[in-house]
Amino acid sequence: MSRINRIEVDGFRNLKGIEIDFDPGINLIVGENGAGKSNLLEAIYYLLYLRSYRNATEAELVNLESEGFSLKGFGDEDRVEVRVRNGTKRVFRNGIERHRFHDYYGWLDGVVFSLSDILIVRGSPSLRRDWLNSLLARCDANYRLLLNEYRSILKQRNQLLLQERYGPELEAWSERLVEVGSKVYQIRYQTFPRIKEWFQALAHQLNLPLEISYHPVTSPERFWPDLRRSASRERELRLTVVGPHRDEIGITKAGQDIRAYGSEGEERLAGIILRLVEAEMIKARKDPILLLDEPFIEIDKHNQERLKSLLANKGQLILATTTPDWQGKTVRLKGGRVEATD
Amino acid sequence: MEKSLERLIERLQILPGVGRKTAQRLAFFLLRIPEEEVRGLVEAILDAKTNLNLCEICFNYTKRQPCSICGDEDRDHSLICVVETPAEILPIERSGRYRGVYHVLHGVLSPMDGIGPEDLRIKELVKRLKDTSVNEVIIATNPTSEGEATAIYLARTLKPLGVKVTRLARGLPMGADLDLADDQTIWNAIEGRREL
Repeated sequence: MSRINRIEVDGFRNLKGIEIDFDPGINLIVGENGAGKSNLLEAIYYLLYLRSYRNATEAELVNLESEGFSLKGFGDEDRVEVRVRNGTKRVFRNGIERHRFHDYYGWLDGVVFSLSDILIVRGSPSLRRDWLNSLLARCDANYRLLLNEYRSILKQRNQLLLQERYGPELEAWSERLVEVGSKVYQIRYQTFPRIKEWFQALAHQLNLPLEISYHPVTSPERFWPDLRRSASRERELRLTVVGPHRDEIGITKAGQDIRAYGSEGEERLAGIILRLVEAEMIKARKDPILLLDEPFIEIDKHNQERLKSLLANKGQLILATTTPDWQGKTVRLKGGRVEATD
Repeated sequence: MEKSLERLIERLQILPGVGRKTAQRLAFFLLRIPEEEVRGLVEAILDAKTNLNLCEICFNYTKRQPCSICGDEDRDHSLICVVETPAEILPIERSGRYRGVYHVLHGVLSPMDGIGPEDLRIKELVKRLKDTSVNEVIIATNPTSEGEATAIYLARTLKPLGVKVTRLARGLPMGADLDLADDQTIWNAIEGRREL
Protein backbone atom coordinates (compact mmCIF):
# COMPACT_ATOMS: atom_id res chain seq x y z
CA MET A 1 0.00 0.00 0.00
CA SER A 2 1.19 3.50 -0.79
CA ARG A 3 0.75 6.38 1.55
CA ILE A 4 2.09 9.67 2.80
CA ASN A 5 3.50 9.45 6.31
CA ARG A 6 4.39 13.04 6.98
CA ILE A 7 4.11 16.48 5.47
CA GLU A 8 5.78 19.84 6.20
CA VAL A 9 4.29 23.00 4.72
CA ASP A 10 5.37 26.61 4.97
CA GLY A 11 4.18 29.66 3.05
CA PHE A 12 1.67 27.74 0.94
CA ARG A 13 -1.57 29.79 0.87
CA ASN A 14 -2.32 30.54 4.54
CA LEU A 15 -0.38 27.56 5.91
CA LYS A 16 2.55 28.36 8.23
CA GLY A 17 5.02 26.00 9.90
CA ILE A 18 2.82 22.95 9.44
CA GLU A 19 4.22 19.56 10.43
CA ILE A 20 1.83 16.63 10.42
CA ASP A 21 2.38 12.89 10.82
CA PHE A 22 -0.40 10.97 9.11
CA ASP A 23 -2.06 7.74 10.08
CA PRO A 24 -1.93 5.01 7.39
CA GLY A 25 -5.72 4.81 7.63
CA ILE A 26 -8.19 7.61 8.28
CA ASN A 27 -7.05 11.19 8.92
CA LEU A 28 -9.46 14.01 9.73
CA ILE A 29 -8.40 17.60 9.15
CA VAL A 30 -10.78 19.75 11.12
CA GLY A 31 -11.22 23.45 11.75
CA GLU A 32 -13.46 26.35 11.00
CA ASN A 33 -13.88 28.05 7.64
CA GLY A 34 -10.61 29.62 6.56
CA ALA A 35 -8.54 27.50 8.93
CA GLY A 36 -6.66 26.05 5.93
CA LYS A 37 -8.22 22.58 5.59
CA SER A 38 -8.69 22.69 1.83
CA ASN A 39 -5.33 24.40 1.44
CA LEU A 40 -3.69 21.45 3.18
CA LEU A 41 -5.34 19.01 0.73
CA GLU A 42 -4.17 21.24 -2.10
CA ALA A 43 -0.61 21.20 -0.70
CA ILE A 44 -0.60 17.39 -0.57
CA TYR A 45 -1.92 17.22 -4.13
CA TYR A 46 0.78 19.69 -5.17
CA LEU A 47 3.46 17.41 -3.73
CA LEU A 48 2.07 14.62 -5.92
CA TYR A 49 1.54 16.41 -9.21
CA LEU A 50 3.35 19.78 -8.90
CA ARG A 51 0.21 21.73 -9.66
CA SER A 52 -2.94 22.86 -7.94
CA TYR A 53 -6.13 20.85 -8.44
CA ARG A 54 -7.96 24.15 -8.15
CA ASN A 55 -5.99 25.41 -11.16
CA ALA A 56 -4.27 28.14 -9.18
CA THR A 57 -0.99 29.57 -10.45
CA GLU A 58 2.18 29.37 -8.37
CA ALA A 59 1.91 33.08 -7.62
CA GLU A 60 -1.55 32.53 -6.17
CA LEU A 61 -0.31 29.69 -4.00
CA VAL A 62 2.38 31.77 -2.34
CA ASN A 63 1.39 33.33 0.96
CA LEU A 64 0.97 37.09 0.63
CA GLU A 65 3.52 37.69 3.38
CA SER A 66 6.23 35.36 2.04
CA GLU A 67 8.42 35.23 -1.04
CA GLY A 68 7.73 31.58 -1.70
CA PHE A 69 6.69 28.31 -0.18
CA SER A 70 8.26 25.01 0.69
CA LEU A 71 6.66 21.59 0.89
CA LYS A 72 8.13 18.33 2.13
CA GLY A 73 6.53 14.92 1.86
CA PHE A 74 7.59 11.59 3.28
CA GLY A 75 6.28 8.40 1.71
CA ASP A 76 7.12 4.80 2.50
CA GLU A 77 10.18 4.84 0.26
CA ASP A 78 10.52 8.38 -0.98
CA ARG A 79 11.30 11.78 0.42
CA VAL A 80 10.18 14.69 -1.76
CA GLU A 81 10.60 18.42 -1.52
CA VAL A 82 9.35 21.41 -3.50
CA ARG A 83 10.70 24.94 -3.15
CA VAL A 84 9.05 27.82 -4.93
CA ARG A 85 10.82 31.15 -4.47
CA ASN A 86 10.60 34.34 -6.53
CA GLY A 87 8.80 32.54 -9.32
CA THR A 88 11.27 29.66 -9.68
CA LYS A 89 10.33 26.13 -8.77
CA ARG A 90 12.83 23.50 -7.67
CA VAL A 91 11.81 19.92 -6.99
CA PHE A 92 13.71 17.16 -5.24
CA ARG A 93 13.10 13.47 -4.86
CA ASN A 94 15.26 11.60 -2.38
CA GLY A 95 17.61 14.53 -2.11
CA ILE A 96 18.32 14.76 -5.84
CA GLU A 97 17.08 17.77 -7.77
CA ARG A 98 14.84 16.72 -10.66
CA HIS A 99 15.01 19.01 -13.65
CA ARG A 100 12.44 17.05 -15.60
CA PHE A 101 9.18 16.75 -13.65
CA HIS A 102 8.81 13.40 -15.37
CA ASP A 103 11.53 12.11 -13.03
CA TYR A 104 9.71 13.47 -10.01
CA TYR A 105 6.21 12.07 -10.51
CA GLY A 106 5.14 8.62 -9.52
CA TRP A 107 6.33 8.54 -5.91
CA LEU A 108 2.68 8.54 -4.85
CA ASP A 109 -0.72 8.77 -6.55
CA GLY A 110 -3.80 10.44 -5.21
CA VAL A 111 -7.38 11.28 -6.09
CA VAL A 112 -9.08 14.46 -4.95
CA PHE A 113 -12.75 14.59 -4.05
CA SER A 114 -13.74 18.23 -4.14
CA LEU A 115 -17.01 20.08 -3.66
CA SER A 116 -17.05 21.04 -7.32
CA ASP A 117 -17.25 17.36 -8.37
CA ILE A 118 -21.02 17.77 -8.33
CA LEU A 119 -20.59 19.88 -11.47
CA ILE A 120 -19.29 16.84 -13.37
CA VAL A 121 -22.64 15.20 -12.71
CA ARG A 122 -24.79 18.27 -13.10
CA GLY A 123 -22.93 20.44 -15.59
CA SER A 124 -22.44 20.45 -19.35
CA PRO A 125 -21.34 17.30 -21.26
CA SER A 126 -17.87 18.77 -21.70
CA LEU A 127 -17.25 18.46 -17.94
CA ARG A 128 -18.01 14.72 -18.04
CA ARG A 129 -15.77 14.37 -21.09
CA ASP A 130 -13.02 16.17 -19.17
CA TRP A 131 -13.46 13.70 -16.32
CA LEU A 132 -13.27 10.74 -18.71
CA ASN A 133 -10.25 12.20 -20.49
CA SER A 134 -8.29 12.82 -17.31
CA LEU A 135 -9.14 9.36 -16.03
CA LEU A 136 -8.01 7.70 -19.27
CA ALA A 137 -4.86 9.82 -19.36
CA ARG A 138 -4.01 8.60 -15.88
CA CYS A 139 -4.41 4.98 -16.92
CA ASP A 140 -2.64 5.31 -20.29
CA ALA A 141 0.16 7.82 -20.86
CA ASN A 142 -0.37 7.56 -24.59
CA TYR A 143 -3.96 8.80 -24.30
CA ARG A 144 -2.90 12.30 -23.27
CA LEU A 145 -0.63 12.58 -26.33
CA LEU A 146 -3.35 11.35 -28.67
CA LEU A 147 -5.85 13.75 -27.18
CA ASN A 148 -3.54 16.76 -27.52
CA GLU A 149 -2.83 15.81 -31.11
CA TYR A 150 -6.54 15.36 -31.80
CA ARG A 151 -7.33 18.76 -30.33
CA SER A 152 -4.77 20.57 -32.42
CA ILE A 153 -6.00 18.84 -35.62
CA LEU A 154 -9.58 19.73 -34.68
CA LYS A 155 -8.65 23.38 -34.17
CA GLN A 156 -6.97 23.58 -37.57
CA ARG A 157 -9.80 21.78 -39.31
CA ASN A 158 -12.45 24.01 -37.72
CA GLN A 159 -10.47 27.00 -38.91
CA LEU A 160 -10.75 25.73 -42.50
CA LEU A 161 -14.49 25.23 -42.09
CA LEU A 162 -14.78 28.71 -40.64
CA GLN A 163 -13.03 30.12 -43.71
CA GLU A 164 -15.20 27.92 -45.94
CA ARG A 165 -12.11 26.38 -47.48
CA TYR A 166 -13.17 22.95 -48.67
CA GLY A 167 -11.54 20.63 -51.19
CA PRO A 168 -8.33 18.60 -51.01
CA GLU A 169 -6.86 20.65 -48.17
CA LEU A 170 -9.84 19.90 -45.93
CA GLU A 171 -9.63 16.25 -47.01
CA ALA A 172 -6.05 16.04 -45.75
CA TRP A 173 -7.06 17.39 -42.33
CA SER A 174 -10.09 15.07 -42.29
CA GLU A 175 -7.91 12.05 -42.91
CA ARG A 176 -5.65 13.04 -40.05
CA LEU A 177 -8.65 13.74 -37.79
CA VAL A 178 -10.03 10.26 -38.44
CA GLU A 179 -6.62 8.64 -38.02
CA VAL A 180 -5.99 10.14 -34.58
CA GLY A 181 -9.66 10.30 -33.53
CA SER A 182 -10.06 6.58 -34.17
CA LYS A 183 -7.23 5.86 -31.76
CA VAL A 184 -8.91 8.03 -29.13
CA TYR A 185 -12.10 6.04 -29.75
CA GLN A 186 -10.33 2.72 -29.47
CA ILE A 187 -9.12 3.56 -25.98
CA ARG A 188 -12.54 4.89 -24.94
CA TYR A 189 -14.36 1.82 -26.28
CA GLN A 190 -11.85 -0.51 -24.65
CA THR A 191 -11.90 1.13 -21.24
CA PHE A 192 -15.50 2.20 -20.73
CA PRO A 193 -16.88 -1.26 -19.88
CA ARG A 194 -14.46 -1.37 -16.93
CA ILE A 195 -15.49 2.13 -15.84
CA LYS A 196 -19.14 1.10 -16.06
CA GLU A 197 -18.50 -2.03 -14.03
CA TRP A 198 -16.78 -0.12 -11.25
CA PHE A 199 -19.45 2.56 -11.22
CA GLN A 200 -22.18 -0.07 -10.90
CA ALA A 201 -20.37 -1.97 -8.16
CA LEU A 202 -19.79 1.18 -6.12
CA ALA A 203 -23.36 2.42 -6.60
CA HIS A 204 -24.57 -0.99 -5.54
CA GLN A 205 -22.49 -0.87 -2.37
CA LEU A 206 -24.07 2.48 -1.57
CA ASN A 207 -27.48 0.98 -2.34
CA LEU A 208 -28.16 3.60 -5.02
CA PRO A 209 -29.91 2.80 -8.34
CA LEU A 210 -27.33 4.79 -10.33
CA GLU A 211 -25.83 3.87 -13.70
CA ILE A 212 -23.33 5.40 -16.08
CA SER A 213 -23.48 5.09 -19.85
CA TYR A 214 -21.28 6.10 -22.77
CA HIS A 215 -22.81 7.64 -25.90
CA PRO A 216 -20.16 7.92 -28.60
CA VAL A 217 -21.23 9.80 -31.74
CA THR A 218 -19.33 7.31 -33.88
CA SER A 219 -16.80 4.46 -33.73
CA PRO A 220 -13.31 3.84 -35.15
CA GLU A 221 -14.88 1.94 -38.07
CA ARG A 222 -17.66 4.42 -38.80
CA PHE A 223 -15.72 7.63 -38.20
CA TRP A 224 -14.73 8.22 -41.84
CA PRO A 225 -18.18 7.57 -43.42
CA ASP A 226 -19.92 9.47 -40.60
CA LEU A 227 -17.62 12.43 -41.07
CA ARG A 228 -18.40 12.46 -44.81
CA ARG A 229 -22.10 12.24 -44.14
CA SER A 230 -21.88 15.25 -41.82
CA ALA A 231 -20.48 17.49 -44.59
CA SER A 232 -23.60 19.59 -45.11
CA ARG A 233 -24.11 20.10 -41.38
CA GLU A 234 -20.43 21.03 -41.06
CA ARG A 235 -20.80 23.67 -43.74
CA GLU A 236 -23.89 25.02 -42.09
CA LEU A 237 -22.37 25.20 -38.58
CA ARG A 238 -18.78 25.71 -39.81
CA LEU A 239 -17.67 23.21 -37.15
CA THR A 240 -16.57 19.58 -36.96
CA VAL A 241 -19.66 17.84 -35.58
CA VAL A 242 -18.48 14.21 -35.57
CA GLY A 243 -15.71 12.91 -33.33
CA PRO A 244 -14.73 12.08 -29.75
CA HIS A 245 -15.06 15.76 -28.83
CA ARG A 246 -18.85 15.38 -29.18
CA ASP A 247 -19.33 12.17 -27.15
CA GLU A 248 -21.62 12.22 -24.15
CA ILE A 249 -21.55 10.40 -20.84
CA GLY A 250 -24.86 9.96 -19.09
CA ILE A 251 -25.61 9.26 -15.44
CA THR A 252 -29.03 7.89 -14.69
CA LYS A 253 -31.05 7.14 -11.58
CA ALA A 254 -33.45 4.24 -12.09
CA GLY A 255 -33.19 4.79 -15.81
CA GLN A 256 -33.86 8.56 -15.75
CA ASP A 257 -31.37 11.39 -16.29
CA ILE A 258 -30.03 12.25 -12.84
CA ARG A 259 -29.86 15.92 -13.79
CA ALA A 260 -33.64 16.03 -14.06
CA TYR A 261 -34.66 13.41 -11.53
CA GLY A 262 -31.93 13.25 -8.90
CA SER A 263 -31.73 15.12 -5.61
CA GLU A 264 -28.80 17.30 -4.64
CA GLY A 265 -27.56 14.56 -2.29
CA GLU A 266 -27.77 11.93 -5.02
CA GLU A 267 -25.84 14.16 -7.40
CA ARG A 268 -23.16 14.59 -4.72
CA LEU A 269 -22.96 10.84 -4.21
CA ALA A 270 -22.71 10.28 -7.97
CA GLY A 271 -19.80 12.76 -8.01
CA ILE A 272 -18.10 10.81 -5.22
CA ILE A 273 -18.62 7.55 -7.12
CA LEU A 274 -16.95 9.09 -10.21
CA ARG A 275 -13.87 9.86 -8.12
CA LEU A 276 -13.91 6.40 -6.52
CA VAL A 277 -14.00 4.88 -10.02
CA GLU A 278 -10.91 6.95 -10.81
CA ALA A 279 -9.20 5.58 -7.69
CA GLU A 280 -10.09 1.99 -8.61
CA MET A 281 -8.79 2.42 -12.15
CA ILE A 282 -5.49 3.88 -10.94
CA LYS A 283 -5.11 1.01 -8.47
CA ALA A 284 -4.01 -1.27 -11.30
CA ARG A 285 -0.71 0.63 -11.16
CA LYS A 286 -0.43 1.88 -7.61
CA ASP A 287 -2.77 2.41 -4.66
CA PRO A 288 -3.78 6.07 -4.57
CA ILE A 289 -4.39 8.03 -1.41
CA LEU A 290 -7.79 9.71 -1.23
CA LEU A 291 -8.00 13.43 -0.47
CA LEU A 292 -11.55 14.39 0.40
CA ASP A 293 -12.88 17.91 0.90
CA GLU A 294 -16.15 17.89 2.88
CA PRO A 295 -17.42 14.63 1.36
CA PHE A 296 -20.51 14.39 3.58
CA ILE A 297 -22.09 17.72 2.78
CA GLU A 298 -25.77 17.48 1.73
CA ILE A 299 -25.75 13.72 2.28
CA ASP A 300 -28.23 12.26 4.77
CA LYS A 301 -27.10 10.29 7.86
CA HIS A 302 -28.11 6.98 6.36
CA ASN A 303 -26.06 7.45 3.20
CA GLN A 304 -23.21 8.96 5.22
CA GLU A 305 -22.88 5.73 7.18
CA ARG A 306 -22.85 3.66 3.99
CA LEU A 307 -20.27 5.96 2.43
CA LYS A 308 -18.08 5.74 5.54
CA SER A 309 -18.06 1.96 5.55
CA LEU A 310 -17.25 2.01 1.82
CA LEU A 311 -14.39 4.49 2.27
CA ALA A 312 -13.00 2.77 5.34
CA ASN A 313 -11.20 0.07 3.34
CA LYS A 314 -9.97 2.23 0.46
CA GLY A 315 -6.47 2.81 1.79
CA GLN A 316 -5.22 6.06 3.24
CA LEU A 317 -7.80 8.83 3.55
CA ILE A 318 -7.16 12.47 4.32
CA LEU A 319 -10.42 14.20 4.87
CA ALA A 320 -11.14 17.88 5.48
CA THR A 321 -14.32 18.57 7.38
CA THR A 322 -16.02 21.03 9.73
CA THR A 323 -18.06 18.21 11.31
CA PRO A 324 -15.68 15.45 12.40
CA ASP A 325 -18.02 12.65 13.43
CA TRP A 326 -15.78 9.79 12.41
CA GLN A 327 -13.05 7.71 14.02
CA GLY A 328 -9.55 8.59 12.88
CA LYS A 329 -6.47 10.61 13.58
CA THR A 330 -7.65 14.19 14.04
CA VAL A 331 -5.61 17.27 13.21
CA ARG A 332 -7.14 20.59 14.19
CA LEU A 333 -6.14 23.65 12.15
CA LYS A 334 -6.62 27.26 13.11
CA GLY A 335 -5.46 30.30 11.15
CA GLY A 336 -3.21 28.18 8.94
CA ARG A 337 -1.43 26.49 11.84
CA VAL A 338 -1.81 23.17 13.60
CA GLU A 339 -3.70 23.86 16.82
CA ALA A 340 -3.92 20.33 18.14
CA THR A 341 -3.54 16.68 17.12
CA ASP A 342 -4.76 13.52 18.72
CA MET B 1 20.24 56.78 -23.98
CA GLU B 2 22.52 57.47 -26.97
CA LYS B 3 20.58 57.52 -30.25
CA SER B 4 22.92 54.99 -31.92
CA LEU B 5 22.51 52.57 -29.06
CA GLU B 6 18.74 52.98 -29.04
CA ARG B 7 18.65 52.31 -32.78
CA LEU B 8 20.79 49.18 -32.47
CA ILE B 9 18.56 47.76 -29.74
CA GLU B 10 15.49 48.47 -31.81
CA ARG B 11 16.94 46.81 -34.93
CA LEU B 12 18.05 43.70 -33.07
CA GLN B 13 14.47 43.09 -32.05
CA ILE B 14 13.50 42.08 -35.59
CA LEU B 15 15.23 38.75 -34.85
CA PRO B 16 12.84 35.97 -33.86
CA GLY B 17 12.74 35.30 -30.13
CA VAL B 18 14.59 38.49 -29.30
CA GLY B 19 12.73 40.90 -27.06
CA ARG B 20 13.86 44.21 -25.62
CA LYS B 21 15.87 42.65 -22.82
CA THR B 22 17.81 40.23 -25.02
CA ALA B 23 18.31 42.98 -27.61
CA GLN B 24 19.91 45.15 -24.93
CA ARG B 25 22.21 42.35 -23.87
CA LEU B 26 23.22 41.68 -27.47
CA ALA B 27 23.79 45.40 -28.13
CA PHE B 28 26.13 45.78 -25.16
CA PHE B 29 27.91 42.59 -26.18
CA LEU B 30 28.49 43.93 -29.68
CA LEU B 31 29.87 47.18 -28.25
CA ARG B 32 32.28 45.28 -26.04
CA ILE B 33 33.86 42.96 -28.67
CA PRO B 34 36.64 44.08 -31.12
CA GLU B 35 35.54 46.07 -34.14
CA GLU B 36 36.76 43.47 -36.65
CA GLU B 37 34.48 40.87 -35.06
CA VAL B 38 31.49 43.13 -35.64
CA ARG B 39 32.63 43.94 -39.15
CA GLY B 40 32.94 40.22 -39.88
CA LEU B 41 29.42 39.60 -38.65
CA VAL B 42 27.93 42.44 -40.68
CA GLU B 43 29.78 41.32 -43.80
CA ALA B 44 28.63 37.73 -43.35
CA ILE B 45 25.02 38.85 -43.03
CA LEU B 46 25.25 41.13 -46.06
CA ASP B 47 27.08 38.54 -48.13
CA ALA B 48 24.49 35.86 -47.39
CA LYS B 49 21.64 38.24 -48.01
CA THR B 50 22.89 39.60 -51.33
CA ASN B 51 24.43 36.44 -52.76
CA LEU B 52 22.05 33.71 -51.67
CA ASN B 53 18.91 33.02 -53.66
CA LEU B 54 16.49 30.16 -53.81
CA CYS B 55 17.56 27.32 -56.07
CA GLU B 56 15.20 27.25 -59.06
CA ILE B 57 14.82 23.49 -58.72
CA CYS B 58 14.70 22.61 -55.02
CA PHE B 59 14.27 26.06 -53.37
CA ASN B 60 17.17 25.61 -51.00
CA TYR B 61 19.39 28.69 -50.51
CA THR B 62 22.25 28.82 -52.99
CA LYS B 63 24.83 31.11 -54.58
CA ARG B 64 24.72 29.40 -57.98
CA GLN B 65 21.87 28.14 -60.14
CA PRO B 66 21.15 25.32 -59.74
CA CYS B 67 22.44 24.62 -56.21
CA SER B 68 25.38 22.30 -55.59
CA ILE B 69 23.08 19.38 -54.75
CA CYS B 70 20.78 19.78 -57.76
CA GLY B 71 23.83 20.28 -59.98
CA ASP B 72 25.59 17.15 -58.72
CA GLU B 73 25.58 14.55 -61.48
CA ASP B 74 26.47 11.78 -59.04
CA ARG B 75 23.30 12.19 -57.01
CA ASP B 76 20.13 10.25 -57.64
CA HIS B 77 17.72 12.73 -59.22
CA SER B 78 14.88 10.23 -59.30
CA LEU B 79 14.67 10.35 -55.50
CA ILE B 80 13.36 13.55 -53.87
CA CYS B 81 13.23 14.23 -50.15
CA VAL B 82 10.63 16.90 -49.26
CA VAL B 83 11.46 19.06 -46.21
CA GLU B 84 9.73 21.96 -44.47
CA THR B 85 12.66 24.40 -44.38
CA PRO B 86 16.24 24.64 -45.70
CA ALA B 87 17.47 24.05 -42.15
CA GLU B 88 16.26 20.46 -42.32
CA ILE B 89 18.57 19.62 -45.22
CA LEU B 90 21.63 20.08 -43.03
CA PRO B 91 21.04 17.14 -40.64
CA ILE B 92 20.16 14.81 -43.51
CA GLU B 93 23.31 15.81 -45.41
CA ARG B 94 25.39 15.40 -42.28
CA SER B 95 24.39 11.73 -42.15
CA GLY B 96 26.31 11.38 -45.44
CA ARG B 97 24.15 8.48 -46.58
CA TYR B 98 21.38 10.14 -48.52
CA ARG B 99 22.20 10.30 -52.24
CA GLY B 100 18.94 11.73 -53.57
CA VAL B 101 17.96 15.38 -54.00
CA TYR B 102 15.63 17.70 -52.06
CA HIS B 103 12.59 19.91 -52.32
CA VAL B 104 11.98 22.66 -49.77
CA LEU B 105 8.34 23.56 -49.09
CA HIS B 106 9.11 26.69 -47.04
CA GLY B 107 6.45 25.92 -44.47
CA VAL B 108 3.61 23.52 -43.65
CA LEU B 109 -0.16 23.66 -43.92
CA SER B 110 -1.62 25.60 -41.00
CA PRO B 111 -5.10 27.11 -41.39
CA MET B 112 -4.69 28.91 -38.04
CA ASP B 113 -1.74 30.83 -39.50
CA GLY B 114 -3.49 31.27 -42.82
CA ILE B 115 -1.08 28.95 -44.62
CA GLY B 116 -2.63 26.83 -47.38
CA PRO B 117 -1.16 24.72 -50.20
CA GLU B 118 -0.80 27.77 -52.46
CA ASP B 119 1.61 29.32 -49.92
CA LEU B 120 3.98 26.35 -50.12
CA ARG B 121 6.22 25.26 -53.01
CA ILE B 122 3.85 22.44 -53.94
CA LYS B 123 2.97 23.58 -57.48
CA GLU B 124 6.69 23.61 -58.22
CA LEU B 125 7.09 20.09 -56.85
CA VAL B 126 4.25 18.81 -59.03
CA LYS B 127 5.87 20.47 -62.05
CA ARG B 128 9.17 18.84 -61.17
CA LEU B 129 7.55 15.43 -61.11
CA LYS B 130 5.91 16.01 -64.44
CA ASP B 131 9.02 17.40 -66.14
CA THR B 132 11.64 14.95 -64.91
CA SER B 133 11.62 11.24 -64.20
CA VAL B 134 11.17 10.76 -60.46
CA ASN B 135 10.59 7.33 -58.93
CA GLU B 136 10.11 8.15 -55.28
CA VAL B 137 9.28 11.11 -53.05
CA ILE B 138 10.20 10.83 -49.36
CA ILE B 139 8.13 13.17 -47.24
CA ALA B 140 10.25 14.37 -44.33
CA THR B 141 8.00 17.01 -42.77
CA ASN B 142 8.12 17.13 -38.97
CA PRO B 143 5.87 14.85 -36.89
CA THR B 144 3.66 17.75 -35.75
CA SER B 145 -0.08 18.01 -36.49
CA GLU B 146 0.74 20.39 -39.33
CA GLY B 147 3.63 18.31 -40.66
CA GLU B 148 1.45 15.18 -40.72
CA ALA B 149 -1.46 16.93 -42.46
CA THR B 150 0.96 18.34 -45.03
CA ALA B 151 2.35 14.84 -45.61
CA ILE B 152 -1.16 13.51 -46.22
CA TYR B 153 -1.96 16.39 -48.55
CA LEU B 154 1.23 15.76 -50.53
CA ALA B 155 0.60 12.01 -50.74
CA ARG B 156 -2.91 12.66 -52.04
CA THR B 157 -1.60 15.17 -54.59
CA LEU B 158 1.45 13.25 -55.79
CA LYS B 159 0.29 9.64 -55.92
CA PRO B 160 -2.03 10.21 -58.91
CA LEU B 161 1.10 11.27 -60.84
CA GLY B 162 2.31 7.70 -60.63
CA VAL B 163 5.17 8.28 -58.20
CA LYS B 164 5.96 6.25 -55.10
CA VAL B 165 5.39 8.37 -51.96
CA THR B 166 6.97 7.39 -48.65
CA ARG B 167 7.02 8.93 -45.18
CA LEU B 168 10.09 9.22 -42.98
CA ALA B 169 9.95 6.68 -40.14
CA ARG B 170 9.91 7.96 -36.61
CA GLY B 171 11.42 6.09 -33.75
CA LEU B 172 14.12 5.70 -31.19
CA PRO B 173 17.39 7.50 -31.78
CA MET B 174 20.50 5.35 -32.35
CA GLY B 175 21.99 4.19 -29.08
CA ALA B 176 19.10 5.56 -27.03
CA ASP B 177 17.98 3.65 -23.99
CA LEU B 178 14.33 2.72 -23.97
CA ASP B 179 13.89 4.07 -20.45
CA LEU B 180 15.27 7.46 -21.39
CA ALA B 181 12.99 8.04 -24.38
CA ASP B 182 9.82 10.06 -23.90
CA ASP B 183 6.36 8.53 -24.25
CA GLN B 184 5.76 9.95 -27.71
CA THR B 185 9.01 8.58 -29.11
CA ILE B 186 8.39 5.14 -27.68
CA TRP B 187 4.88 5.10 -29.05
CA ASN B 188 6.09 6.19 -32.48
CA ALA B 189 8.69 3.45 -32.43
CA ILE B 190 6.04 0.87 -31.56
CA GLU B 191 3.70 2.13 -34.26
CA GLY B 192 6.47 2.23 -36.84
CA ARG B 193 7.76 -1.27 -35.98
CA ARG B 194 8.73 -3.62 -38.82
CA GLU B 195 8.79 -7.34 -39.25
CA LEU B 196 12.09 -9.15 -38.77
